[in-house]
Amino acid sequence: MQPLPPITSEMPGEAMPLARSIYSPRAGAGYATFRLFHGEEPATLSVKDQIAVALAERIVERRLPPGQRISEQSIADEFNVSKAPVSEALMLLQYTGLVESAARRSAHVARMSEADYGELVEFRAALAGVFFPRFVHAHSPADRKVLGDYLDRIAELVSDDARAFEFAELADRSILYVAMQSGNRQIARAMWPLSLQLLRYYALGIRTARQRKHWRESLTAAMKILEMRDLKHFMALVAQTRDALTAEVVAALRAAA
Amino acid sequence: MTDTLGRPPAAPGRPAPGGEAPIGTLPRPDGVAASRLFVGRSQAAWTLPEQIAAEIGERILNEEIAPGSRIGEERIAREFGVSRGPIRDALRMLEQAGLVSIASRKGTIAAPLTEQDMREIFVLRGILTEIALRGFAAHATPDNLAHFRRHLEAAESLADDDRRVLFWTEANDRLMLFIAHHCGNSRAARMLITLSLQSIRYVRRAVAAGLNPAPRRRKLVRFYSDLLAAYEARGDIEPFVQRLRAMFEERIQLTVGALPPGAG
Repeated sequence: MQPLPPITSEMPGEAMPLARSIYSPRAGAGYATFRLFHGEEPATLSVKDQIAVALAERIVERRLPPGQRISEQSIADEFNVSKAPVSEALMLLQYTGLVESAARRSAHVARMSEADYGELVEFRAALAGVFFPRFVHAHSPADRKVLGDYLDRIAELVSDDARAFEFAELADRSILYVAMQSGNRQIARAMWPLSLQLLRYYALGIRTARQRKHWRESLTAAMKILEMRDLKHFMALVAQTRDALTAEVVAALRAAA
Repeated sequence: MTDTLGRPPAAPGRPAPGGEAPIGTLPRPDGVAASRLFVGRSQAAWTLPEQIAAEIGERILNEEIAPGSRIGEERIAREFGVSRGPIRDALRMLEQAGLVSIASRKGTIAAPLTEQDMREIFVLRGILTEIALRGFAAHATPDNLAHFRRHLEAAESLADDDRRVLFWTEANDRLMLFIAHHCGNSRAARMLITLSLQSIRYVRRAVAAGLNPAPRRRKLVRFYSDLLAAYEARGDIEPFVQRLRAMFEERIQLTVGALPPGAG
């Protein structure tokens, strides 16, 4: 399958950003940049982009709690810039679904709820209904190698509580990788913001070694089924894994409420 | 602002390849871009960049700005008598909506029409409309059903009129977006609005190529009227999901024939 051009510009012939960045040492640390800029991880970021990344990380890691009001002025003060780049950064985060704004000039961190998670999962499941079957049929040994590398890295993190988020992030990245191979730019475009929004929930649902072990087992099984190109079992496993994760996330949300 | 943003006497952009604009002399509805860009917001509340986005968006949909052609910030700024700041903001909005693409080196162009793009849009529309159809069942209140009926009647009243076929496609689209808006999944609804915007030029090309004749239009009206009956009776929606799937597949096949040779 042909590599995807970047989503925002036409640059045929460029190496696929996602495949390149999997080996990037910044993986994990640069997770918000990676998703905000659709896998491109630019070497230098404009002021507004730096602010967007910093805020995205705070929101996903819940250092800025859901529902919290965001004051443009205090962010401008903190970064020592005018309000214009802050406002642009918030616009980008609004497109990404991490920030909501009821009226102009009144933004808050997107709230988290079971209903919201249900919506995200339903949306992504619909997309997955397109990109997983294509991948199962059309993937190459090179694709399996990429996923195998993800799995190796994920396996190293299973028992490390301190790196639970990194684990969730890598697991999500492997799904992004598959989505990007679908060759459907609309799906690719939709996946990036969904991924950032879901990560905030995954951070809740993948916290314990037991949960991570379960994930690793599912991914290992998925690799085997993938190699056999057994779509029926693959999709059944995907649904099963999704349901298990949903149960964990919902339990965590209820516990937090 | 109404003055500077009124439709200029001489439309900018150049005619689509092949000479005349493909939707030719058919009367067409106004405000198609704005209705999707700023859902539920009155025109009075639009900011300057939003007003500009609405106008440029409409020109792109009408192909007054041809697919793939360059959109010069400076020229638009001059035309509207504003600085480049609001123009840039407007173009960003249209980029988010998928109507333009901004590349740092090449500048901004109206999104080109390609077969691949069209397929991608309709595939995604198809799967998200399935969410919408299923989700609406849980929100089929008497009020929503009454609105559904009004949308349906609007589409029905236009289905036989060959001159008003662009109004029919718009009515039909709005019915679908109404269902999406009340499906309980706001993300699916938002994405469907964006995809609707991106579909319009393809749909209009299909219309111009005569690929949406009255029998097809009536068939779609029948689909929605059967669907309404099913919602009212709290019936099974899955058969409609299946029918919808087939309809989208058919639509993709048809629309391929309406694209200029070499597209995609």
